[in-house]
Amino acid sequence: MSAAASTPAGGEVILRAEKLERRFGGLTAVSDFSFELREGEILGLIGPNGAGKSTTFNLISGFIRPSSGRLFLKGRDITGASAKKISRLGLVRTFQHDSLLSEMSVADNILIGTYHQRLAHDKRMEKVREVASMTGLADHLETIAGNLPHGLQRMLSIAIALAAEPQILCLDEPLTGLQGAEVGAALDLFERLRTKHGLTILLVEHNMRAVMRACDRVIVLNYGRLLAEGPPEAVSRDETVIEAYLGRGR
Amino acid sequence: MWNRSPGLWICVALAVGAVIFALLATNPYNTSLVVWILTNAVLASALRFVLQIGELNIATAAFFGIGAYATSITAVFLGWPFWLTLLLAPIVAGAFSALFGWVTLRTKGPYFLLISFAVTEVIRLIYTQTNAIGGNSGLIGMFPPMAIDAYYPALAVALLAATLFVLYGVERSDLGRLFKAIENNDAIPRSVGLNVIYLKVLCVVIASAAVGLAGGVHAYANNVIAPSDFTYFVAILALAYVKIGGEGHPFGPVLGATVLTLVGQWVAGISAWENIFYGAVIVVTLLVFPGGLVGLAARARGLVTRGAR
Repeated sequence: MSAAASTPAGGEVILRAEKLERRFGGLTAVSDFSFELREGEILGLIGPNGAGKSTTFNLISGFIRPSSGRLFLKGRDITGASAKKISRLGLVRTFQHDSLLSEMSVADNILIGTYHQRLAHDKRMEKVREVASMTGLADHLETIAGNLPHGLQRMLSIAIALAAEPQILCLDEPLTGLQGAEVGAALDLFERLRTKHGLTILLVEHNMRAVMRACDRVIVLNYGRLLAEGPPEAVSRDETVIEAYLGRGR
Repeated sequence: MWNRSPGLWICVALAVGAVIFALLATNPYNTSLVVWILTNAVLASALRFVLQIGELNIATAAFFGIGAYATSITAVFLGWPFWLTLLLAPIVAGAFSALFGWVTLRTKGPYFLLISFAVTEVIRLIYTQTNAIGGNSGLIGMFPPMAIDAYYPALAVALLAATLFVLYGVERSDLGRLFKAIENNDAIPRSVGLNVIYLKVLCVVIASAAVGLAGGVHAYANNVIAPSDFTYFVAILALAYVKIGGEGHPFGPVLGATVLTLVGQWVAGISAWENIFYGAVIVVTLLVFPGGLVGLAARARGLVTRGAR
């Protein structure tokens, strides 16, 4: 029995993609891609560069529309819904690049995340401080985001998303460029978000050791198609996956 | 916002001073000059207001004209009461700008700039081709009621100054923070459940209502309007005020409009050289002090405080 299967994952299906497809002109970025995200789990989405991970993120968050296929969030059909609507239904994503408001203060960055909720100013600021202390930004509220060290910038992009009070947090390569201790702290944060705040997390990440440690399940994309799915250990031993990453040994 | 900002109190004092000046000055040239300075300040501030979301809105000139025409048409042809015609200016300009923004704000940068330029010129051509509203020669005969006439410049200055404070207040509010966020990186507000297009339209509507009111005020101050008052060049001059006063601070466009309008009274005498003069001033400003006069003042203050230490 794998360690992943013993973690408290695998509740109700909260997000379901059915035969998702997205074409850009002649290029098919994602094709026949079906997967399920279950409440309370940390699901890893991995694959070589160009496999369609970012396209998948843009599709499920409503930033682009699928060419065909369907998306269901909490049983509700959200195919073709706007980014605004999907975010308000509880699915909030972060970005791999340009993931924050570089010219604004840390506090203002996090504030932006609270604006879709009707709150009094004091409540908003309370929320900002709460999220900032969760993400290690409490001492940097007045710093201009672009001047933060890289590790804290990655944390800030997560903080903006958290301020929007998501149920599902979709993180696009949140660990890129982090130092060893920072990776550990980030993974601890993900675990805390899941256990203490009941969040479900979809994680796109290239750091394989982190994916193995953090995720309950992993799905592998290659050339826009589902290549493998399962617990991290099984996926990491899967020959088709190894081949996709390293090429065929001859 | 008030207790932290002595600069704001200085601005209130300046505004009250301008109203009192317009009330007491006996020379009509001086009073109309104050009204004209404030009108330009609103135009420049409205242009900068839309720059908050990163767009250069040449149609600022068009909505100034729509406000002026809305007031003039209802005053001259329909004989509506003074206050109602004045109230109509921001409403009509705002409504037109909502339609304009909803269609055009899906584009950005140079595309939006060119569309806003084209819209401005098309609307001006519509005025010139519509004989019912005076065609090329425009409209005359917008007079404030007799009871107000003597105080009109003071009223105009008060309304325009109040408009400036409203724009400032919005910029400092949560809404202003959202506008800046859109300019900085519009994917972030989108990702946390905000309707970016709606917010951009709202930004343009607020700015356009402001210049619409300025247009209505201008119509009564000038008693005559013509299509040639509302060409794209109005927005270009407003841009000059913004750049020279300083884009980084809400007071920048007000300062730029004041300085350049006063200087403009002098260069008007050198006819053909006038536009060359404005062009040269913009180029020199951007090269020598890109932060504008406000940026220069901030730098000077920085030097002084460093010297004191």
